[in-house]
Amino acid sequence: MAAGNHTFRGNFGLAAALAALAFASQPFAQKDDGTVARLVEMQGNVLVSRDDGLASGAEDQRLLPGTRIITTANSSTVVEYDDGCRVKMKENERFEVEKDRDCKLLAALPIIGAPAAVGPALASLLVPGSVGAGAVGAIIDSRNNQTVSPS
Amino acid sequence: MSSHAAAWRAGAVAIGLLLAWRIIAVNGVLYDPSGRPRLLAAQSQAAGEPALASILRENPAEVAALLVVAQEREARGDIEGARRAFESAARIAPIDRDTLLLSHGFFLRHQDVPQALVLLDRLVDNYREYDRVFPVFAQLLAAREPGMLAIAARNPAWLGAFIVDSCRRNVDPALLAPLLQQRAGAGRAQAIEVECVVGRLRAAGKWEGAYQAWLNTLPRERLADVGFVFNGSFEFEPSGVGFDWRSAGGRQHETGNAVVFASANSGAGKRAMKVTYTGKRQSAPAVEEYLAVPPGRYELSGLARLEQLNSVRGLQWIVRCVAAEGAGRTLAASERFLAGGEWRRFRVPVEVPPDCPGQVLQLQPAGLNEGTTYVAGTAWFDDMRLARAR
Repeated sequence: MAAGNHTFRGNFGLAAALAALAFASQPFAQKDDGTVARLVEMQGNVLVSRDDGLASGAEDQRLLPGTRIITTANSSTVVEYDDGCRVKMKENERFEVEKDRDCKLLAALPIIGAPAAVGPALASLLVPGSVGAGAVGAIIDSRNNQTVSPS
Repeated sequence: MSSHAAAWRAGAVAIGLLLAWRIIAVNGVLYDPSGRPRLLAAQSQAAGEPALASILRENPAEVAALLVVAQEREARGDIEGARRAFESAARIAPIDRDTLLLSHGFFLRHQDVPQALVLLDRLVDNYREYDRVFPVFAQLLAAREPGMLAIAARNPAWLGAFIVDSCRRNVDPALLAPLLQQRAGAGRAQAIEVECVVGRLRAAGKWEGAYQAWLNTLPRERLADVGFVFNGSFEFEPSGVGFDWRSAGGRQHETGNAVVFASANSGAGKRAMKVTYTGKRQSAPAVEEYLAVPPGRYELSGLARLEQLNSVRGLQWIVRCVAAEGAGRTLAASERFLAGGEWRRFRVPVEVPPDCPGQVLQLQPAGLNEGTTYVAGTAWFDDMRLARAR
């Protein structure tokens, strides 16, 4: 009896392992409605594409392949695939839901790209007319019309 | 009663004497007995600092003297001495215009950008020296100078003016978009700021960035439904900026048309777009909207109603690619609207190619570019949509 139970448990474990393997072999599980992921941890205004434009997304909203997600200012979300792959989105990013793609290759792209920093030539930054020999006289001239000091 | 009045009189006399003493004392500092300004005299001396030092001994708070001392020290290479004098001047008279103008220059020349920024910030705050200071701010913004970013993060009242000024000076609009976003987040962004930054991004071919910058200025309730054709229901007044509807502008007697979003009974919402033509020659689209539609196949549809619309060729909705130079290629043209008729739906297929990131939807007389066109009458449109073709 004990041996039979052990065998049953062994067979059950093997079946479960095979089932898990079968699921694991599908990179992205797909639901009956064709969706492969959902929106979670939504903050702020997250937009989701539809046939005629964009609409506000909702927490737990299911996503079809090809759907574009756009985060607006001060917004963020996570696109969570049914296989557990998670793509984090910060503000001003876009992501297109794809299936059958390695999780490591999925990433949101920034929309408003910050240009490379350009170091200013400090000499060129001087406010015109604010310095130089003439300025000394100018400031004194301007004070000559005053009867009291600024203090 | 009389003793009370006498006390008032005595007080007034005392204040007058005090003021007189102050004027005499200060004039004594600033002018020599011949009436010549002491500072000019000091400046004219080869070794002027001793004279200035004398003035400062008499009145250590004399900022003009401090500034001259600071400049003389800088001129002869005593940078630390000059720095001390400029810093003293800025402490004594923190919002004095001359102090701010001269001191910030010193700090910029000697690589102390954070200190210079503090002074420039005061200069703009107190004296609205936009023309002088904004170009400097723009360069520091481009350099990602932390002090400049900190000032911008404070969202000062002049930030909107800075955005517009910099935008018009061809500062990279991608630098200005975050500032615009900040202004919009605080509910302060003005249409002129939005239009300039979004327009510059569009003109630079950065359509996705332009669309995003504009989206970030929309109130939350408008983000619930952002059609490829924005406000295609015409339920909201057009802002005329970004990717919203814009009309030709100008007066009706000049343009020969008038565009209003008016109450209507089309069956789609409460309002519709009414375009009235006076019979004058038409030289431009009466109304248009920029689009940023991804490549693909779509269908443009809408409702139309015409009232005695007279024109040789009629009106048309056109979808064009926006090219860097002038009008781009036409992607689609609707049927021609002419004569009269009740509300009816029209449809036209539109294919957006991959090399067309930005488009424009325009209502114009058919054959506008082929010859003189005159239009009279009224056309109504409602429920305009651009949807992916299935």
